[in-house]
Amino acid sequence: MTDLISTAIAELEKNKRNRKRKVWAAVIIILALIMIKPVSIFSVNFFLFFSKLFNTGGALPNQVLWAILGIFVGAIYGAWAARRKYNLDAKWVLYPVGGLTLFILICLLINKV
Amino acid sequence: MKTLEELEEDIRELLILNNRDVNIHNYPDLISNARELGFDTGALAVLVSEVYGKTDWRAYDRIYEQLNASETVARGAFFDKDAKQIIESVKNDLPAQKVIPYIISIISKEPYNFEPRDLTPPDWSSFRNFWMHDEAWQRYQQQVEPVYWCDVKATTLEQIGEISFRKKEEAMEYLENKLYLPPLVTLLTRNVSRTKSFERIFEEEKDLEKRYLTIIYRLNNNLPFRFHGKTYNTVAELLNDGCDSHELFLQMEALYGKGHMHIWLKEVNAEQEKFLTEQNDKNGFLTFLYKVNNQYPYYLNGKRYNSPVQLTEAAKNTGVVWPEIFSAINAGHLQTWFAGLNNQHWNDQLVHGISTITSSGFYSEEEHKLATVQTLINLVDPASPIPSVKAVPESLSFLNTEASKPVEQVIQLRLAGSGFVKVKVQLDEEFEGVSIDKEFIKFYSLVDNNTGEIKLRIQPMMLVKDRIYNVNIVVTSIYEQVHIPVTISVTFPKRAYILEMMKFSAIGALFFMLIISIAPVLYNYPDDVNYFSQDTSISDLPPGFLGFLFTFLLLISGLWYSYRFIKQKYKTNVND
Repeated sequence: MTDLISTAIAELEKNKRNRKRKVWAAVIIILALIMIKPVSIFSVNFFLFFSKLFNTGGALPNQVLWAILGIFVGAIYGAWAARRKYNLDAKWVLYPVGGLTLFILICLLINKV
Repeated sequence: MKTLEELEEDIRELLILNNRDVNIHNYPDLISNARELGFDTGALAVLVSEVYGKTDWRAYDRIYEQLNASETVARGAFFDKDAKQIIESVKNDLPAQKVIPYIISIISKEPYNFEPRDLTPPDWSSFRNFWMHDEAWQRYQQQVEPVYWCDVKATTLEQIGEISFRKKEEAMEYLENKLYLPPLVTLLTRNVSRTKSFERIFEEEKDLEKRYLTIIYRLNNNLPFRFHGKTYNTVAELLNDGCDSHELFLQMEALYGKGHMHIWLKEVNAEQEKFLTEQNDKNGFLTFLYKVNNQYPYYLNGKRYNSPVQLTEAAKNTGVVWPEIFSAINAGHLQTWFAGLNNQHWNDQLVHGISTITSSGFYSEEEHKLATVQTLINLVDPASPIPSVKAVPESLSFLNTEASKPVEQVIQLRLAGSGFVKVKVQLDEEFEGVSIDKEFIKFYSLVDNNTGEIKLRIQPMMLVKDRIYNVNIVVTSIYEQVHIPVTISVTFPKRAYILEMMKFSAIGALFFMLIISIAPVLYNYPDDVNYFSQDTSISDLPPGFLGFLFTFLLLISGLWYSYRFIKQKYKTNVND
């Protein structure tokens, strides 16, 4: 008798969960449809910015500079990982951040965005 | 062969005994002794008169005068109290042993002719019985009707006392109630106040044994004390014999506890009466014992100790006596002994030591007992070594350790003295990453527990890099505090840091290159293109803007997931 009741309760919970998930899915889809346009405009501007920033006038291909950007960002992640692993001071993460900032600044000095 | 002094002493004695009139011919021994020394009869007579001249007869004259003047002697009797009076009067000049024979020599001869009466057998050398001449004795016997106590004739209270002493069981039957004795007292003394004092004993003392004792000593305070089959006239003799073995000691303690000694000493008015204590327990007995003579031994659990140092020597050799010593301290017995030996300052120091142990806070009950005994040992014998602890090594240094693996170091503690001690081990400053594994260590040399170990554990990853830590391991006992300095510094893991950075940099470079290589349009814009504002319509956006969206989202998700990855995977792993 009691296991009948417990199975009934489990069914009811599952139905509630499914309904909840369906509601969330619906909300997300609606939000996504609304947000597509602003986000795509933002992403276009994003890449445009970097294209102007890394404009070398043909001396270096843009991929190289993107790769250098990737090196700095990766260094930040790596420093943070090392900090977590070896319990280092916070300043060691800031060095690569400083490096990234320096790189961006140099590019800004050279190119007009 | 006698010496000249001995011969002169003999002559002097004869002069005393014969009331200064000696006929040397009555003493052939004297003549032969003198002849051995080279004196013939004539020279001996000269020697006798020399001795007579040399002796100071004034004291003897005083005695003679007193006897002549005495009323009782005139009436024909001489009692012990008269003798005591005379002894007292010449006590500065002559000892009692010389006075008594002199008196006897006078009263037993002409013109007095006293004889010792009333005791059988009569004692010719003392005044335990009284001396009378025949006429006075007959008169006395007619005057005083003898009474019969326990079927023996008695004419004085002292005699009744003596009979009761000799016939204890029979006398005790008669002392069960007051019908028997008080009437006899009235008869003999013709004085009701004395009877009343005896009746009071019956009323006040319910214990038959104590009643018996009080009565016999009040009747006759010359009676000895019975203990373990022997009789003793003085407390000192009794205690001396009683201290010979543990069994006797316990019996003495029991007698004291029952109050028998109190009764005896009070009735006899001994000078040791002032040493008696109010409590009848063991402490009271010990106080009394050591007040009489503080050289008497102390018995602990059946063993005899003549001095406290002997006791501590035994404690230093075996641990079996330690619990016994502690219970004796707890009950106060040892302190009573020390106080009797005029070592009250030991008791004060012991109290101080015990409070130190308790206030330290980390002794269990068993350990408390051991520590107390240890304190006592050091107190009584200041030369014995204090249980001190030494550390090997005495200091540690971990400079420039790489922050990779935990470091463990064993420190050994050794008992340098001997005895029992418990130490508390702790760091004087708490840091995460530095720890010791034990808090308390016990040492006890009598069970060969002489060493202990502490493990120091350092986890460099938890410590701040490039900083010198100075921490002390503090070993505290009630006797001392030992500091073991430890210096630690952890260096920055340069290699590991750079390695991690390079790993992620490489991945980052590759990832970003990948992102940007999806479509050349992402990085290939002519210079004059402006940023698109938010209200550009869709148709004005460059074709393939969805591709931009897609790539951007790819980039963001890549960054996000690597963040999650690092967060999950990289932790300060101490077991690396």
